[in-house]
Amino acid sequence: MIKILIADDHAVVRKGLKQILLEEYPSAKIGEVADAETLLAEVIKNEWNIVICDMNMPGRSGLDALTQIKQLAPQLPVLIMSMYPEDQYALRVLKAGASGYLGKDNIHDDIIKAVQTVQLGKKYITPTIAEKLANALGEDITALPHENLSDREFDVFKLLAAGKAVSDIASQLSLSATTVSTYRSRIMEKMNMRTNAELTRYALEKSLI
Amino acid sequence: MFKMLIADDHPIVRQRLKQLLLEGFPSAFFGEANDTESLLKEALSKDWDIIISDLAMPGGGGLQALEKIKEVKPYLPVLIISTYPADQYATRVISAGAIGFLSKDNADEDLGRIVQEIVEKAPK
Repeated sequence: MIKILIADDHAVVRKGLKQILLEEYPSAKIGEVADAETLLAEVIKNEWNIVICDMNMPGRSGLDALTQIKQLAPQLPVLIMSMYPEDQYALRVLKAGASGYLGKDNIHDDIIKAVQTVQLGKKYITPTIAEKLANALGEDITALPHENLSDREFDVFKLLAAGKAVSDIASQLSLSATTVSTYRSRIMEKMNMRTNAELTRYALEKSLI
Repeated sequence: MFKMLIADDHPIVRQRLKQLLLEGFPSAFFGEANDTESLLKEALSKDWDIIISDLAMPGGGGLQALEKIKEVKPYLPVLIISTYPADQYATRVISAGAIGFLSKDNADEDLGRIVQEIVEKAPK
């Protein structure tokens, strides 16, 4: 029996996904969690064959959870799903150890194929992502400023761009305010920007928030 | 036959809403729209008994579409659903002419019942 854990903060998405998975795997055990902390607790407590995790959840992001899952259970395949366009996040989540990335536009059609692929120990790469990967081989990887940020810096960048205060980000990511301020300085330096408004404008232009 | 138009940019959400509605309306016809433009096109070019639309969608969103739909079809019930909390948006969307506001997280429990109530109250 395949055991699949779904992590998404919206019940309607979890139930919809569960329904699609049960149509293909009627005897599957499907677990549901609504935030990254519970996801990590479930991964530690129970055995799962696949985790399907939303990129954006309250508290730690899906990217952060992915990094931790890869430390706790390196062999456990994690599929990351997101409301963002495929080309913006795919490379980052694949680099962080995800077995596949599903954007909102293809998840409905591709989820079963993705589960079947990762069950075989392979990565699930859509044609769009394959093209992006191929292009990345030949281009300067510093082309876009946000692609130079570390995963943690990227999480802080998105929250700053969304208008969150340093103290709120610190509490959401379980960091000290000083650490978040340090990340902010590094982000500004790497992106060659001076204000949060510039970050917001950039993030909107690149469809990152 | 009862005709419902579901607008949401997330295909899994559309499918889940449709499944929830099929429990109470097994013979209903469902239309789907995945952004504001397609919602307006579908809403204004065909006959519907109810529209269930997400608040935040590409191209302006459910609130903007709601205002345009109400100009042309003032009696067509539009139920707005959202991941945003009701206390922030409910008053605004109802003032704009929506028949109700439902948080997506309550859809499992409440969607079927709310649509049933809207249908029963609709002018025949």
